[in-house]
Amino acid sequence: MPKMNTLLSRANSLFAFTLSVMAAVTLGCILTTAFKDRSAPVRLHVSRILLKKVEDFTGPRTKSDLGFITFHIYADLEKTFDWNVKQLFLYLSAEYTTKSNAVNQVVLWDKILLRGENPKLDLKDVKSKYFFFDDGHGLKGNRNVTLTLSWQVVPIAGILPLVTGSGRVSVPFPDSYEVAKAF
Amino acid sequence: MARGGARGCLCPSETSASGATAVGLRGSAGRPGYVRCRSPKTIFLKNRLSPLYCRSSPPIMLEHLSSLPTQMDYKGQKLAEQMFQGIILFSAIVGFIYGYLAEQFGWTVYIVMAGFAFSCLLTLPPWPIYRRHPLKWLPVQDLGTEDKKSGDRKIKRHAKNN
Repeated sequence: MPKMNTLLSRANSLFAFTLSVMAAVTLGCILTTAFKDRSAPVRLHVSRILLKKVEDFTGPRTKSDLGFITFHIYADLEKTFDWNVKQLFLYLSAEYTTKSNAVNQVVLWDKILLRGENPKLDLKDVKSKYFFFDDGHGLKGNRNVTLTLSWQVVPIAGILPLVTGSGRVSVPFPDSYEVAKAF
Repeated sequence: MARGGARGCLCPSETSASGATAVGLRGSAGRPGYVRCRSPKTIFLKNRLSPLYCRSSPPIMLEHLSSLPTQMDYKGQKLAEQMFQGIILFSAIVGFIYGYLAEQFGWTVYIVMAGFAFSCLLTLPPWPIYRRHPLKWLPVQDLGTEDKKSGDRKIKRHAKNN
């Protein structure tokens, strides 16, 4: 008797059908959140800046400007979380212009915010995590150093959009070394 | 089918009482369907020696295992396929809606996997509902003299062609 449809062939077709359906469901999940606006309001405040002149160990051994910034962050990220977001990668970056470079961007601090954690950020007196080195002496007396908070949305399925928060703050750096400037 | 003779060991008294056709069937206990011609003398010798040719249970057990029902009939296969496709699609839709409302994609995956497990249970083993339309085979034709005659005819035809 010819066995057209054995147990294994039935199991094979069942499993393959389940995988195809799962792929279609994932595609539906992507489509429901692909065109969503992921931005959110952000409030930043810098409380203290300290400038030092230190030998730059990351590059050539010349003395470069090193800044230490303490800041407050307030952001409400509840609307960016939906069923297709696994985590948010937040980072604070500083942007400024010097005589030698037109655009300098340095990441000062970052945080991973998982789904389930409190999405309303209210952090006070956060010290910068990474060294704020400048190649040269561009930070001393710099009129305009802009700090912005951006985040990368890591979805369960789909594209990873990079969003910049709406609030940003510009601070002038002190004119001399080893003198803290408070705001 | 000549399998009827393969049940249990041959008893010498039974063999002598049966006659030529029965011996023809039983002599082929190892190979079902293979019929050999025997003269009365060999029948007598075979009766004496039949306990030595006695086949015990292992080949019979293997035959029973291979005839365990693991297949469905064709209408049953179609029914099983429709059922599992329907179940998985339904669980995917329900899971999608539930995950969207609960804001957790994990729930969607769990519901689809539950649908998969349920349809596995429902369609993989050959339940009786899938065997309601068995194939209709032709009735068993009587072997023995008729077969011998057709065998002779076949031999004659081959001789002609050669």
